[in-house]
Amino acid sequence: MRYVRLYRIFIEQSLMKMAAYKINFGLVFVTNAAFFSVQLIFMHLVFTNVDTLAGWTKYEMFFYIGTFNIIDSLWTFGPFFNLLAIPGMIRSGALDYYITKPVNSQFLISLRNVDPGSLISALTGVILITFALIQGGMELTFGKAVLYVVSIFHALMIQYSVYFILTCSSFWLVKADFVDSIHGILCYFSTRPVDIYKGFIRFILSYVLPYGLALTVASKAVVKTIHFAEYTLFLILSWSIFAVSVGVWRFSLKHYSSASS
Amino acid sequence: MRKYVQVLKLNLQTSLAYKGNFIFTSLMDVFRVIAEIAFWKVLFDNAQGRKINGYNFNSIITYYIFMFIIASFTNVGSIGYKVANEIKDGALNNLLVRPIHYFGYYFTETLSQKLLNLLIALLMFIPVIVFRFGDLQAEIPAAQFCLLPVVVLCSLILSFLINILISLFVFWMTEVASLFLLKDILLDLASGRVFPLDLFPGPLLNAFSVLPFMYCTYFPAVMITKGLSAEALYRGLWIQLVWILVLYGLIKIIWRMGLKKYTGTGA
Repeated sequence: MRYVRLYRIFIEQSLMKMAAYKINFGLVFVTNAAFFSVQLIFMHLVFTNVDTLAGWTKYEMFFYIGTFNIIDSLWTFGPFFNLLAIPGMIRSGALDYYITKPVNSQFLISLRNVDPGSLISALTGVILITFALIQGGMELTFGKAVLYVVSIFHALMIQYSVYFILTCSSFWLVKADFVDSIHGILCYFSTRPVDIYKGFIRFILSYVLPYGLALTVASKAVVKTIHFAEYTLFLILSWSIFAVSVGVWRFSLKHYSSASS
Repeated sequence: MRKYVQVLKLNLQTSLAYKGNFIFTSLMDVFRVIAEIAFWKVLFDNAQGRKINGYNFNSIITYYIFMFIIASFTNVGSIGYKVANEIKDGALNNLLVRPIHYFGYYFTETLSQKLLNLLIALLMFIPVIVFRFGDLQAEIPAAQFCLLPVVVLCSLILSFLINILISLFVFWMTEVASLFLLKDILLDLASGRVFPLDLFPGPLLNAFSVLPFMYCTYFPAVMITKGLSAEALYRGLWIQLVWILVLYGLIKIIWRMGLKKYTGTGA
């Protein structure tokens, strides 16, 4: 409960900052809509040639792209900019300030800044999944909606944990720009369901750096039938990776010797 | 001219200091090609051997490989950010007082970085090309091969001018981050960096063919992949040259107007 209260304060502070440095919300929305429109145009052209792609119909694919948008927007809303700042804080020693506070340091360092503008971007995704559901004649039951929300939370947890574990390498490396590049390429692969891929790539996207699995399971929870075993594996995997991220953070902090190192 | 050669040398040295970064960026492009190979493989399996807008599996993969190599040379989005930031925070003053042409300086800097990008991209893609060599489908006629460097250089100049033109709007705006992101998304689509533009219906492709964007990447990439008739090649080359002149003229006008508004104090 204490952390929920704390997160509410983070949001309030970020809103105050945002009021001081006004962002053009309209432009943020248009930019996000443009990015996903490009994906939709591409998929529309693809589906003029085929009926299904690795078992996904056109509107199921649109739903997938909408889900990608929602997760991507929530990722930017919450941890993204915080994690991006960690290497700089380690280099400058500013991390000292956060690890000496009487709250969980991983929580504080990962979520202290919020980007409210990203919620506007998530609207594009909500509009798109609604459109896909209506046009594709897919039914959204209460049960499916619950599974979807739970999946999105866990997909975010996977994305966060993978990025966080990789970012911890900056305790030992001077530059950690590669983390964002790896994240970028994982997102590139994940703009399409993991069912598209086979062999080694699918294994990596499903079990090692499971961005693909996370997005696919979230979409499947609504537009397809998802097996209990697959869903349970997804939940176990997300909590396991999160546990690893906690372990890696504690291990890294033991080796941290501030800016003078 | 000598001063530009010095700028070129200096920037090559600076860029070489960050070669790890260049190599990693090119490696990411290799991964993107792998993602495209996987995607198009499934698509062509579902299409049951049919061609898609004149492409078969091998020619579409050839397009993506050469598109990424060409884009490593012609995609100059970062220079727009740099110029925009200089105008925004007043750092433009430093270059304005130097005895060197502002855009000439930045074009030379871009050229040095892009030559290195191209070299590394070629090196990174060699294993991909060798691995799939028997299946690649480059239909460029031998006679047109010697014109390819000219076309690619014109693509770089066009791309440079488009990015500079957009960056000059910063003279009248303070917040440009989203605008630049929007520009990158639209340029990626319109220049064929997301997918080949001839997947679009004919009338839309015709509309694209009179705009400058598709001549930044798509035109040289399709020249290698599908080959062009002599008429189409020379028409494309003329359009490139006309747009270079038009954009340069526009930049000169907007630059003069912008400088009248510029205070040099930063936004």
